[in-house]
Amino acid sequence: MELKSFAVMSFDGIHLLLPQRSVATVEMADSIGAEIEISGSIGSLNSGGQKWPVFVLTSDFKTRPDRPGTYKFCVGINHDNQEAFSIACEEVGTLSVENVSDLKPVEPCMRTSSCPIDALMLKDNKLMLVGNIETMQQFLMSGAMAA
Amino acid sequence: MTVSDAWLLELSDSISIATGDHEMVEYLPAPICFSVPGSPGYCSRVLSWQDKLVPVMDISMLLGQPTADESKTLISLVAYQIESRAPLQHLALRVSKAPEKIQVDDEQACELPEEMNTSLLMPIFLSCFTYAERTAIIFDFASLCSAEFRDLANPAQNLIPDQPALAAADTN
Repeated sequence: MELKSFAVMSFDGIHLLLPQRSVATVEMADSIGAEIEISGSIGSLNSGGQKWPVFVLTSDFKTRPDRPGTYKFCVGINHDNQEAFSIACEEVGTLSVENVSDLKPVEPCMRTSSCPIDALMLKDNKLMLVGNIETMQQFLMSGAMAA
Repeated sequence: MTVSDAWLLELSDSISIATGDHEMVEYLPAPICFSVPGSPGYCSRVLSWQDKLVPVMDISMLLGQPTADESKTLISLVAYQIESRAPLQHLALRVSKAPEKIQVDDEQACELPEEMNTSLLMPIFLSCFTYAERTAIIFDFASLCSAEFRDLANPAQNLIPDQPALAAADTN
C-alpha cells in the first residue's frame, strides 16, 4: 500500500491537491506583502528573507488581480529548490490517498498548457484536482491567463 | 449488400454521428459531471461513471457548430480501443436526445458534406452515410481522444508534453 499525502487548497468551488512535502508554509493572507514584478501575482509572501509571488486563481485557473475576502490563506510552495510561489485559497487541509488507483490520470484529450493537472479523484462526491508542481510553477510563472 | 446494426447519435440540429452497435455502452439522461479547469472548451468536463472519470466531449463545439441545449446535459457513453486487444477506453459524448438503434447498409454510404470537409475532421473521419435525410458521420474515437488530435484541435495552445501522469504527483 502506497500512501500519498497532499495539501488540499480549496477556492472558487474547486479543490487543488499538491504534494504535501512541497508545502513550505501556510500563512494568513493578511500577511501578503507588496507586489513583485511577476505577471499575474497580487503580491508577495515573505519566507526566509525571500519574496514568493502570490497568485489568486479562479475556478478555471485564471489569475485574479485582486484577492477576494474569502481567500484567507496563502500556501507557500517550494519544491526541489525550484522557483517558489504561493497560492491564495479559501480553505487549506490535508488528504492522504491510500490507493494510487484512486487517482485517475487526466486523459490526453483534456491536457493542455492551461491545465496543470495530472490526475483527478472523487472524494465525498467532490472532484479533487491533483496538480503537478512543475507544470503549475511553469504555468503560473509564465503568466497564467488573467480572468 | 451488408446490413449492420448501429446507433444514431444526434449531437445537435445539424450534426449526427453513428457508432457501431458494440461501441455504445449506455445512455445517461442525468449524468454526474464535473468541470476540469484549463481543459479544452469542447472537452472540459468529466463524467463520474462506475468508478471511472470519463472525458465528456462536445463534438458540435469542437466543429464550431451550434451545440446541444446548454440547460441540460445528455450523454451517450461509447467505448473504443486504441488497438486490438488493448483495454477498453470510454468517451462520453454530449447528445441532444436519446440514441436511436438503426440498421445501415452499404448503399447508404455518402460523401462527407462539403461544410464538414475540413482538415480538422479528416484525421478522425472514417465514413458517413445518409439516414432519414441527414448525414451521419462515423468517427474514429481512438484518434479523436489522442494527444495528436488534441494538438491539432488546439493550435493556439502551447501544449505540454505527455508524461506518465502520476509520476510527478509522487509525494513520498
